[in-house]
Amino acid sequence: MGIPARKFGGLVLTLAVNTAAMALGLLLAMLCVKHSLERSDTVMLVAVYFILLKLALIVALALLFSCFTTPLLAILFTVGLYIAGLYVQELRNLPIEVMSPGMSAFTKWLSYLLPNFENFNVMAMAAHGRAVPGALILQNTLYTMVYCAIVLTAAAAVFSRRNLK
Amino acid sequence: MKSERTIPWLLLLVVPLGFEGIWRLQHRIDAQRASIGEERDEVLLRSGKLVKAMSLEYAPLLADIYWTRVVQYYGNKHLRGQANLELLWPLLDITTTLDPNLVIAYRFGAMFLSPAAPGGAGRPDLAVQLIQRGIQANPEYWRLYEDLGFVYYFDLKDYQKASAAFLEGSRKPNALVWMKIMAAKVAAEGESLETSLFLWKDIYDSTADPSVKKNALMHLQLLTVKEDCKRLDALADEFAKRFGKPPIRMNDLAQAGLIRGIPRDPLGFPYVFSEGGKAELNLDSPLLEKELMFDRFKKTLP
Repeated sequence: MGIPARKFGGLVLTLAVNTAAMALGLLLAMLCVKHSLERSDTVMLVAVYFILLKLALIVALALLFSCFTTPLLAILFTVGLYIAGLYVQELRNLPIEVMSPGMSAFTKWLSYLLPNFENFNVMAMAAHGRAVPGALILQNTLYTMVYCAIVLTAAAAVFSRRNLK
Repeated sequence: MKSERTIPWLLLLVVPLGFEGIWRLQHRIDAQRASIGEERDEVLLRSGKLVKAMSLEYAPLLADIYWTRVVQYYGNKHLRGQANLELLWPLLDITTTLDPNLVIAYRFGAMFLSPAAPGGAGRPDLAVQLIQRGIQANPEYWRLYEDLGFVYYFDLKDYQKASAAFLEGSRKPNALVWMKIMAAKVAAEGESLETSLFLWKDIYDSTADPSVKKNALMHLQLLTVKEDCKRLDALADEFAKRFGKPPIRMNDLAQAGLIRGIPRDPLGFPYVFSEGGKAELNLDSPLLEKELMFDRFKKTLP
């Protein structure tokens, strides 16, 4: 796995520090506005954790693209995948009655192949202080780990074939 | 060198296994999110006027986006079989405030709002309010009067108001001639099978929306079933008078010469007699499920 994995680890750590700092800022802002924090506010930390998971996935994808293309194209590919990943659910909700069975199977297959960033969206729940189920936290963590493992292995495979001399 | 050779092999192993895991995990995440999905419905900005002010000169464009949201909201709820459509009105309110000339929002919005669950939100009062708002903004569009009459006729059972709406609509430019006939017929007879069939048939013929068409067709089929069962019950009474016992099978009516062949529902399934001697849909008929679903919602709603 080598260099891409180490680079990924470093970037995720940096992002973790950034996210933690921003979460702290948000907590302080909430404290200023509400003068106290409630137990239900902890759901905000879950939302922040999900944002970190999402960022880790984006970093892994960006690393993969940066292994075989120019920085500009890597950015464009990553942004494209991010936007596509936000609408995976819509892909599944396409009116299958009007599509051929082949097309319907393809869109379903594609919806599982693309990273599903909607999995990490618990903003409405955090805003209303509703608890996020523990199972969802575990599943999203596993999802990110498995997806990142696939992407980083692909990145390592591409990177190992590059001639850096 | 060794790692260079192992990585492609590792990739061959990791990709299929990894995506197999992703597939399973995504199914579980979907199930988990579906269980909390009901809580995720939110319309954060409920003031149409505020949204209009924020949209600058792009209010009609934003209205189209909100209308798409209405359709998606209704469609998703319909697909999941959820009866709670409480956000339908705020979304329609914003849509029509942003663009008062978006006629489709009044027409289909009323169809989503008015019928009782599972077909709609069960709020004919709001449907009337929505159409009246549409009429105010588009006074020459006769189809809105037809929709208003439709809501009064089917959901509010206010035949005088339904007749008045049809009559008012008949005076508008390009209104079809049957509007005037319908006004007279509804005023004279109230609810009748013939009128109901005509109205649903008109909806079926005039809409291009597949879900509305499907809904109209289902109502047409259920109305036919209702009429068929009524006719068969009358024949069963006749049979009981003649032979001193109620018919057990449809074949009994045929053998007594009261009907020719075994009567079938619109989907081709033969009708049967219940233990109480009443004609009803065959257990195998898909229409039975629809009929029971409507009955169940009628019973659970206040």
